[in-house]
Amino acid sequence: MNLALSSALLGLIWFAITNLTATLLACLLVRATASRQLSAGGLLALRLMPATLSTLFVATLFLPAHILFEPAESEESLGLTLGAVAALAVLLLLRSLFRVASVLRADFELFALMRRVARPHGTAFEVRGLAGVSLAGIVRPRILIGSSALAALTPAELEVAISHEHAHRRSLDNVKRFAICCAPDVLGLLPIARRLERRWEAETECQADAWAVGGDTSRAVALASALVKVARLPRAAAIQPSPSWSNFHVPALLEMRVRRLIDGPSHVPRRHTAWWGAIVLAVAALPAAAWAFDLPYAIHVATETLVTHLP
Amino acid sequence: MFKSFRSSWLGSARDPLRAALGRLERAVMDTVWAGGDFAVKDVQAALGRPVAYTTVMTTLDRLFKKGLVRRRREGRAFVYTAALERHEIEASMTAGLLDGVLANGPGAARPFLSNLVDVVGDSHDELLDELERLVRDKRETIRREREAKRDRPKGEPA
Repeated sequence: MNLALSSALLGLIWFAITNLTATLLACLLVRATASRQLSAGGLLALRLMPATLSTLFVATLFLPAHILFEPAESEESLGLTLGAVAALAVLLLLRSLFRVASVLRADFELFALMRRVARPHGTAFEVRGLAGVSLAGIVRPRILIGSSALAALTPAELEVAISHEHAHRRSLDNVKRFAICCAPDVLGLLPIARRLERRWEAETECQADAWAVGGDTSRAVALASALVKVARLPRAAAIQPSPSWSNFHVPALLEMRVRRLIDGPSHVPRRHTAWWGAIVLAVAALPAAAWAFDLPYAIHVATETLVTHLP
Repeated sequence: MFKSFRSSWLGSARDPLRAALGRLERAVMDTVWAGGDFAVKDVQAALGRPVAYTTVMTTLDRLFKKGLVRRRREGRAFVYTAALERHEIEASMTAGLLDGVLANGPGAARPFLSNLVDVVGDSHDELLDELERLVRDKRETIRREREAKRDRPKGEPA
């Protein structure tokens, strides 16, 4: 087996192994934090942890170590067990690629359709055939308002609904939705991921509500009223939102959001930019630390042991 | 050990509720079937495992929409009670109603499905009416507060 082939196959195997391990860890963390109020960022980090860690492990530790320590040609061959593990990784990556292609295609088709039927309305676009209000698109998200919603909402309600979508845009929520939808991980195959995603969505919507309201009681009531009005609009619309869109009306969260807004506007959440910076730095520093402690050679030895001993 | 394994797996597989309700929904229904009135936080406390408040609230709302629990307002919150006893739900499910209806052709299923849609639609409208009323009440409160503030002579404490 030459170096390129062995790098690809063993990279897939390590991707699957670290993905499974990180999924197990994420499941334990989800259970441990089930009764706690985690921030949207924390929930997102948990959801994307397996895909991020496994990709990072393979790209920064396994592959450089394998290229460095493995001879150009070797007599090694993979057994059935490792073949199955590699197949799992291939399936995960194919599923992810398929989802990326589906979401991107849906977004392109909708934008093409939008160019024909959308009319500018301030910072947003009016779209006939769309139910409610949505933030559409991943790279350049735009706020879309269905004609029926435009007719149903008062100017104050419409303004606060648009502010809600602006908050989603500022937080890059559509990019996060896209990452969640397309993350290549075992966690995404488990029901626990759906629960985690629902918790993340609830936090994200409440955060966007808080941003839109800005601590003002009248705006909170206007937003609650807009939510109820949009919920009453007929659902059978000609344009169906893509999975990467942020939708103003989320049926499962309607009651909770309206009650929260009526009970009093929550404080505008603080942005934890410093925390995120620290986390990104820590994650980036991990491979450097691993190389400093000669961990890549240990990984190479572990790879050799797996290939030699597993059937 | 084998017996408990068998009863927990085979037994639950025979449980007709397992086919219709999720695990948390069944746990919430078990709590509500114990009898009495339950606020969301009571159900959360009775579950015996850590579940977020909003998750319990969403689950109860889903069960309400399915017609399995009733609710009434007490202050700002809803209080839930079981709408049907366990054996009543099981009886209706095990009757294989849907199977029977579908066996008579797709046309025969139409009245059943349209009735189901009506029931779900009614409970949805009921919730929206309730939320709309909350919004109206809050608007009225804000209006009264503003008027009171405007009418109050300057310098008088609130």
